[in-house]
Amino acid sequence: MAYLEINRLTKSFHGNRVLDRIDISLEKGTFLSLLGPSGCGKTTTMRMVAGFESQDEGTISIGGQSIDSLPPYKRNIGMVFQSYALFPHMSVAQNVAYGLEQQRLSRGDIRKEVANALEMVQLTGYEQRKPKQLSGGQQQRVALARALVTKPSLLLLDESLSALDKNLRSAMQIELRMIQKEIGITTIFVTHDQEEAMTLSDCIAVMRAGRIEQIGSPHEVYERPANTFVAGFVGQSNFLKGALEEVGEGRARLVLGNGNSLFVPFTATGSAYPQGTETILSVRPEKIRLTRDTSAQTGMKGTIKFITYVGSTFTYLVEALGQELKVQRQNDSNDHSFRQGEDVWLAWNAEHQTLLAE
Amino acid sequence: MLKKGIGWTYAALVMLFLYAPILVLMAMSFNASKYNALPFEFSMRWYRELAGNDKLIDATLTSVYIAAGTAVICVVLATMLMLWAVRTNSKLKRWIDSLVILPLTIPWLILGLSLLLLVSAAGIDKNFMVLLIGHVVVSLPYAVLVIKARLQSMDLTINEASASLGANEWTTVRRITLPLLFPAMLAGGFLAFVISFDNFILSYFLIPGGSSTLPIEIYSSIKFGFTPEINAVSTVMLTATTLLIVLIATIMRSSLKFFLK
Amino acid sequence: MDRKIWLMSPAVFLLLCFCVVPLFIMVYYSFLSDGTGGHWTVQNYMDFFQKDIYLKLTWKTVKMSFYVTVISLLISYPMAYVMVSIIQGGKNMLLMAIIIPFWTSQLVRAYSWQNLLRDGGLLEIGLRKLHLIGSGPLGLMFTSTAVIIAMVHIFFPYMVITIYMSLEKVDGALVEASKSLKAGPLTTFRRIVLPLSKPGIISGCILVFVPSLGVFVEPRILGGTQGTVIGTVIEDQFFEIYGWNFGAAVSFILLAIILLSMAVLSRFAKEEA
Repeated sequence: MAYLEINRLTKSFHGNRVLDRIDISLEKGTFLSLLGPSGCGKTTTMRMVAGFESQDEGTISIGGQSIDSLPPYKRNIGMVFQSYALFPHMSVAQNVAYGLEQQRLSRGDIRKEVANALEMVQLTGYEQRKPKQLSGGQQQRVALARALVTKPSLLLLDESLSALDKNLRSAMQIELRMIQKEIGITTIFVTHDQEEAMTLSDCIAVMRAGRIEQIGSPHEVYERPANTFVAGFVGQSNFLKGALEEVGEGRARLVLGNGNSLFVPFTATGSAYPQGTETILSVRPEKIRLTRDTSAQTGMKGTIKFITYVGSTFTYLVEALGQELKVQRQNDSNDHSFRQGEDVWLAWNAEHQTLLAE
Repeated sequence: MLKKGIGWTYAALVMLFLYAPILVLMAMSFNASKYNALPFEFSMRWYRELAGNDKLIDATLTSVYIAAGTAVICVVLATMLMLWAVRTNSKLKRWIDSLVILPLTIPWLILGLSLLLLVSAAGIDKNFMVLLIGHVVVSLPYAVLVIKARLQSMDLTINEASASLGANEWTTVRRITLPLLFPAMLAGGFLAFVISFDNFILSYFLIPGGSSTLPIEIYSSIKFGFTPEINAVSTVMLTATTLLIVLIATIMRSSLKFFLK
Repeated sequence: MDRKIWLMSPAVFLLLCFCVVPLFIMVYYSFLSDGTGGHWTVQNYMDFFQKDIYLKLTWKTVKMSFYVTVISLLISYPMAYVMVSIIQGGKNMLLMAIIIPFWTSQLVRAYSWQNLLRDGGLLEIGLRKLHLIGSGPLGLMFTSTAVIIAMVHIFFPYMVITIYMSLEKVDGALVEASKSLKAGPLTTFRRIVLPLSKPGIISGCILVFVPSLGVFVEPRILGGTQGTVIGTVIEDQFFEIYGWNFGAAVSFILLAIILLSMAVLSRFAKEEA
């Protein structure tokens, strides 16, 4: 049995099913991100783990112990809120000490623990400040110290970085990850930001409409998305929907809905994809090569419609076989010589495409 | 520039309308003439007579006791009510919101006499208990509104933060909610005090025979004849409530400033 | 969750027993013939609707409240407008200055007009100095006009506040957008600012009109014989005449008028929104 076990968690509000049989199991020390658009149930899932909401069905256990019947204050779970939720009438030190006081520690121990926690988040010297005298990043650190100082069995982070500006945010991401690894605490992070989820997590659960669409390592979720939703939500994807014909050695013909067809690279065995199998081919913009050489075995011809330049990359909007595809290339002296209106050949490798059922 | 001049002039005229009668009343309380006659002649005579008027002083004390009782009861009831309201998503809440506002929509005249009818229907004599309850009923909405405003400006997730740190609900209320609510409770209490202290109509209907409050004394001297001390006592009353209101406003504003990030 | 219901029960119990129940008792009394006893009757209501004098008094009360509301609006709107758009610095001080009297004793404020309005009072002296009136007495005291002046004085701050709050919410960019579309200041005011401040005007009207219907102290102090309104009729029934059942009926009719006018006015507000 894994450290954190969530089994068939289900919840309805006014007849709306907001969570539908959520299953998660995490090993100790894992950093899991719940990723999804707003209303997908990620926050509800976290609040159920914290005990602020109760499930209709399903069970949650930590370290083999069921916590379903425990009120929030007996669950020993640390949480960093989106708004930080620091106590405005208490100083930094009092905020951090609050949880320790509930555990009835001696005064001396509390002072020591508070000092250690503040040192960990590099806020030594700020003990007597009030929360409103701190910057957003500092408040974030206090909230983290306050959540960790009680040595909880689980750390919950609710969109905790979303209030920070971009530079501070990436600095905090790194710091957060370092602290999390160092103390080895199992963590659940709720976010709608796929980049942040990729950066921080050992494991990502992509959620939509109360269900987990895919759960796996960032690499798995990105390189092998389970469906078009995951492929489109985590990073960007081009989708070619059609039927597989003429499955042969190394390539197959994909007949698109509009009657056009192209050869795509193909390495799977034919038996898994009999003639006429409907499929959605997904390929990421940065995996597509653009060339002027039109003699390739696979791929398609297209016309560059529009070019956007964002410094480190170029994004080409290419029209090919009646579809629009996005192609992203590094800004490395070789590749940016294409002009708008130019005809190009688009090609990609078999390992960079995913064939999806839906 | 012209626009500005017109604007300020207009504001000044409105202020004159608002304050002239009050200021004249205050000035007259220092006028020696018994009939508020002019020319003005400064005198502290009415204040001296006030100090010797035991009936007025008794009535004032009665008013203060009732107002203080009203304030304490209102703060306790309003705080309890709002602690419930922030924690519940019960359907009752909307009904209770309307119930609390009800005394604001019904004229005090009607509230007062319906309470009088209640007393008579119950077959008991008018007494201070019913009077106090009447004052609580009309002052409670104000205390609730002040405390509610504070709660609405508060980040309620701090209660959850407290729970996640291992504090049970009572500890959370005691260490987090109440300290943050305290300025609003204070302001709500003072406001209930002022409403009750100024209240004439309910006292008029419900006061037991032989007793009196300050507003009742003022009303009867206005009605039954010219008593120059009334200027003095009104001045004292206006000054006292004005000071309290300024105090309330200061508490509310500074508390908001302090806690709003 | 509902373990916590004890927290709200004292307040709710108090309001039910001492605000809602008494109103029902009042209605009950209004259908009794004699004090707490007698028999069931609608005679109290018949008395009210069959006697010209009560209908006239009702109409007078409504008319008076209407005047008070209109005059308050005429004073308050420009005041609120000036506070929002012209006076920037002293806004908070001014707001405080408007609010403070609103919490002081209505009784004392009504009485304070006596010094000004009575014959030989300050207003008479002042007007005579300016040669605006002749040598006769001012004749304002103990008239409906005196009552209306005092009521406006007491109630208009409510309206300044509500209009001020709605005007403050009007986005300055809207006004600029209107001007950029070549609308003059008057058009901008009429088409943009006024409609957007309507909710404030309507809630201000409710806050002035409704309490005006139920006054009795101001007419007693400043109205003299002209100062008879529904409120004073009710008071008389309870303190002078001991016609409690009739008094209860009149109170109930007053309450009905109040609820009706609130319903009508808030319907207005809804239509606008």
